[in-house]
Amino acid sequence: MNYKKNRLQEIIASAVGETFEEMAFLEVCQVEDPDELMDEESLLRASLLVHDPFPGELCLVAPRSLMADVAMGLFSLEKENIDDLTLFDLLAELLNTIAGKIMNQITPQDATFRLGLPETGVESLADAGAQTVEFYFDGDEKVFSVAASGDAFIAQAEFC
Amino acid sequence: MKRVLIVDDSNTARMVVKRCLEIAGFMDATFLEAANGKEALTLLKQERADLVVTDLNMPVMDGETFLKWVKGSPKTHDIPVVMISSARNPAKEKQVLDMGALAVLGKPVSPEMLRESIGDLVETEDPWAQGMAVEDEKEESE
Repeated sequence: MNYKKNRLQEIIASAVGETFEEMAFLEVCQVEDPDELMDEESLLRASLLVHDPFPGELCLVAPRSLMADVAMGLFSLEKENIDDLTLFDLLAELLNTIAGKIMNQITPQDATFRLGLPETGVESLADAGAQTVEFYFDGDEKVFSVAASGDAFIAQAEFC
Repeated sequence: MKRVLIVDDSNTARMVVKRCLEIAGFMDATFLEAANGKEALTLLKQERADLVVTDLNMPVMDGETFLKWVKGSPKTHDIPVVMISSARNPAKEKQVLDMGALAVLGKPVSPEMLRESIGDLVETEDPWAQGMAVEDEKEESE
């Protein structure tokens, strides 16, 4: 793994950890080999475009059961009363906050950055040919991933 | 009892702000909610609010336009408005502060961040603090 990916990994891991702890009261840690843990769950997906100053995309993919657990705690709801709308709204807001934290790290202090509105349940919004890096995390023994794509966006991590 | 209007297109974000406000001292407040600036303006025509906490980036009517309407109306211009954003734009932040916003906070908000920006409102909400203030006044007058 090169320096660029290490730095980006550090920034994303920090943003993900803080966001889940502050919003979902859940401690998460990074995992290296998640294959066996991610394939049995139905996965929910949210994507968000970074418009300025470095175009790119961020995606959060998480198991339905993890989002349901977080929603139960946050909204004080029973599991059977949690609908898809709530789960996707939660996923989108988590991604929105993670994106804000990442951009705060990689954008110069006095510079402007602009994010799109999160979209849920969609395929990747970015150019299919763009460079992509993906990192996996464990929250309450459930694995989820955060991916970043876009050449300019990923390259910025080298200089921040 | 304080009445707080929370404006955000995300139900999750509204809940997070509500929890933070409760921890920051608004435990007994009545919370009103709206999904965008337009809904919030409609609500403010019918309901009183002592504080507004609004997202900046929303569909239908964004936080900046909503703030402009709130500060432009004699009925609502005194209501403190705290803006929240996941993006960063120093020029826009200065602009909304010049327009009369009390503070601009980054997401996710925390009770500490809110307490720092709306400390005066929180103090009058705390019954213990109110009780102490009354005791102090009594001692001073004696």
